[in-house]
Amino acid sequence: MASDVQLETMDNQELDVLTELGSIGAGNAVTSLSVLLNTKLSMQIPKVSFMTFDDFIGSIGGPENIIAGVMCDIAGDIEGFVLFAIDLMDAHRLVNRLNNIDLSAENMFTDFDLSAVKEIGNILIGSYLASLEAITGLKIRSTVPVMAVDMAGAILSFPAIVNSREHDDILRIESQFEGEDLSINGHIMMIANSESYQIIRQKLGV
Amino acid sequence: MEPTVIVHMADYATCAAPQKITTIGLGSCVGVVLYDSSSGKCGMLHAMLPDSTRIRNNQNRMKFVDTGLEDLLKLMEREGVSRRKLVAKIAGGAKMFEFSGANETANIGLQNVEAAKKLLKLYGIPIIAEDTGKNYGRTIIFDPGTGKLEIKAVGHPISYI
Repeated sequence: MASDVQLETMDNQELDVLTELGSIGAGNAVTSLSVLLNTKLSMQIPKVSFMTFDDFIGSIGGPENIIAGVMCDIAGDIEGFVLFAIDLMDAHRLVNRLNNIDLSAENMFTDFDLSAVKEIGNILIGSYLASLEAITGLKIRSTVPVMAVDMAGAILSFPAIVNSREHDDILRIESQFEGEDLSINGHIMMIANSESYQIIRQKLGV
Repeated sequence: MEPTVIVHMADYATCAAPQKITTIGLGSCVGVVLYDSSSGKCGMLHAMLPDSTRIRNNQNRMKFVDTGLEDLLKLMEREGVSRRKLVAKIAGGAKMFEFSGANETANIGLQNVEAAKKLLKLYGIPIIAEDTGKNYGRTIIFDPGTGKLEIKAVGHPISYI
């Protein structure tokens, strides 16, 4: 493996490049969602951070916070995961907006609602990866999205486990967005293995 | 009363009654409780991967079922617990996502559970209760005072095993 690269030794310039990648990826993704929902969404500057497994699984409102998570396994030139996560109540608001239902209605998720959340995740992840491909020239394939509604800790345990084969912590590129007239707070994150970060760096010449 | 001991991901800890021990948001990881009812002492492991010998990066022994269990057992024995008195309860190992096609890690939960069962058998520690697999996360709280393992899961009533 070419990956005796230690993620921990990345310098500021390298981290800046990852932040920029996250920014472009998530920017495009959030724009697609904004068009779909016909509402303004604002995005925060992405955070590139190293986290312990425990901090990672608690990073979306704590490990017991109930979220909807949509995840794609990515392969090709780089390997890892892209994940869209949103608090359960926010997911309800999102689906209600999409279906033009009264925002105060706290209905249960139907199968139809769940597939709507999955489709939103699919669109976000798809445009995130498409812009990543466009900037880096890398070929990235992604699996059909999978979804779970559960405790954040349980959902995030899966990418953490896969990552744990190589590392004892996680390098995560995370972007958050918020609705302006719709109270939602969504997260898009990418977790790749160290070889992949090395490939991205080579491609971008940093 | 002393606060409940929290076992993090890739971590283990021990405690004794009346204190309780918990791990939160167990997904595909496996939680193993070792318990000696005669002394009220117990230990809990929250492991991520089944087998340290198949992974190059295996310095963090608590990450794995095999080395984690070995170290937890040693710790409990140093604390005066006899292995012969121990029984085990296991939980977790869920399949959180339904991936289409072959994905060797898709059912890492099952592999974690199987590794725990195999090793406990090897150690001669009987598993007296389990709540494993399925497709949802669990928070588990063990009370060595009663020997009950409380299991909380989203959309399921609280259960005790």
